[in-house]
Amino acid sequence: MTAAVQLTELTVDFRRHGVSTRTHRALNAVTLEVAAQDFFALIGPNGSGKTTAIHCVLGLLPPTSGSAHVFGVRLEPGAPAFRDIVYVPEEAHYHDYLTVEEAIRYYAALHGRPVTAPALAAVLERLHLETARHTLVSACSKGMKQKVGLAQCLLQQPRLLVLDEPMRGLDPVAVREFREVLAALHRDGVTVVMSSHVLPEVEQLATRIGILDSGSLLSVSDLDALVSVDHDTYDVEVERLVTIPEYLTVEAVAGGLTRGALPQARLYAFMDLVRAEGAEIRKCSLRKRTLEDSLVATLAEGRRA
Amino acid sequence: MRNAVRLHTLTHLTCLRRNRIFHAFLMLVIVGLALTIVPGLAFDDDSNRFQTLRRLAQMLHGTISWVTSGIGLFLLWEHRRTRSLKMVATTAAPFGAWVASLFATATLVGIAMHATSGVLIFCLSWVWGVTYQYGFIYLALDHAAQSLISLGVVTMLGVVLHPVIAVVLVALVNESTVLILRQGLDMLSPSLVLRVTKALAAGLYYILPVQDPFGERTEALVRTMRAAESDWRYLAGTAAYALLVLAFAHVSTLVMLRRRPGT
Repeated sequence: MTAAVQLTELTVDFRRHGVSTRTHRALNAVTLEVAAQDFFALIGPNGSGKTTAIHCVLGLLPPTSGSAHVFGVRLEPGAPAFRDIVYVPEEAHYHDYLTVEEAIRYYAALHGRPVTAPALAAVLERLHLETARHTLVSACSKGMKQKVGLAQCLLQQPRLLVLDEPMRGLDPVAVREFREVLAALHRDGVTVVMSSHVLPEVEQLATRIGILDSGSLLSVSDLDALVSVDHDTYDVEVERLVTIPEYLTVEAVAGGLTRGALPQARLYAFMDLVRAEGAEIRKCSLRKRTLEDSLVATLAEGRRA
Repeated sequence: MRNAVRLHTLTHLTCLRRNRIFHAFLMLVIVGLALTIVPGLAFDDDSNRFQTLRRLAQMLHGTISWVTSGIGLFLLWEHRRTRSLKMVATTAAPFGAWVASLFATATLVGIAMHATSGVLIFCLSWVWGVTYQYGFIYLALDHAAQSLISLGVVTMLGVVLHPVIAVVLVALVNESTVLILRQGLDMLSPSLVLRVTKALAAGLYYILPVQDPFGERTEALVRTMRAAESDWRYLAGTAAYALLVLAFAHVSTLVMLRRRPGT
């Protein structure tokens, strides 16, 4: 089966002309495969090469060497393969002199799938854009602008969605709406490739994660491998604890509240101590390894190597 | 392809309709024209009406040609500035259609403005009782064709240069200025450096597109506004040459834009 997205030894160099020409390697031999129907998230610090990789995938930037294929095709501007692909850019780079409705109709027509009035009305209603349909895109908030892209996702029924930092700068309500639409599309079998800094959202949506740093792909793993529960350690928060046992690793003490971690084997001993001191447990749960923890650990490991 | 050109053209027309910078620019041009034309209209006597009309037609059509050339550059720059070009590049519509639509929009707006000016000239000649000559129609069509030449060149340069630099470059380095340079070089005493400079200037002269290919042969027409049957052949020649330049500009612009449409 053809991979939805395939990057092979993808390398991009940017030349900066000045007194002397300097070369900056934005992507360094990135090899990656995104299977059809995956929800793939590309994460990494600023300047790690996420947007460059996405631009190469979409044919917006020619690679210095290597290749990028989408469903087995090397994309170039205006390629017929874009009929099955919708791109939502990082900044809202839409035609801001058009109204919301005009922009949606324009992009849909360019995709070769003109929008019918009922379909448009349904999408506008679903995205709460009915009142803004005659508003110029330039007058819309960032959240509303991004919904223009989201409307394309819903109207075009694409095979592949490519999103570059789609939730950056959105308010919590807009983020939630965005998340729900993306989850629904993924459930319907759409392959999603997304770069993002909003790690909690990535945790809720993605099935596979790629970590980029300084143009190099440090790891590609299933979400489960990066987000897990540590069954050997408990995180605890205790009020009015006087004696600190040697097995409790204290992480913070503030306002009479002690926060720390202890091994699972010492949990009952700790409970006894708390009861004996008349202290109060505010929180006690198995330690979770978040995506943020994994990202930080992978980046540190990568930089050491 | 045709449908995509139509879609983009309609969108560009919306852009021009709603863009305040473009409106301000047009207002500036109109005010400038009015300040130049109105005093002449007010103080010229009846015996001089034909010459006034001729000057007015030349000024109007010349200015419109200049504005028409700038529209392609303006649209290109506006879309690159807002980076909305990548939204076009990531659709299934042929990318060449977008480049073609720049020229189509400018041409449509130019034709509309030339037609309006033509009607104005016709009305003035009727009001003033000046016999209307076909040369006025020739002048409008010739300027419309000439504007396509500069439209193509300026838009093509706008892909690689800042628009202001592109305009300045076209204004400073064209076949007229290079001809003046060549004439100046002819007057200097011969040397090796001069020979090389002359060769370079000659090469440049033949490479640069000619703005008015039959200007010398139609001087009499422009003076009298009487168009002989043979003159229309020059118009056809200018139009063919303009289409050739435009086709070259289309291919060049497309090749350059396709390399990095996202930036």
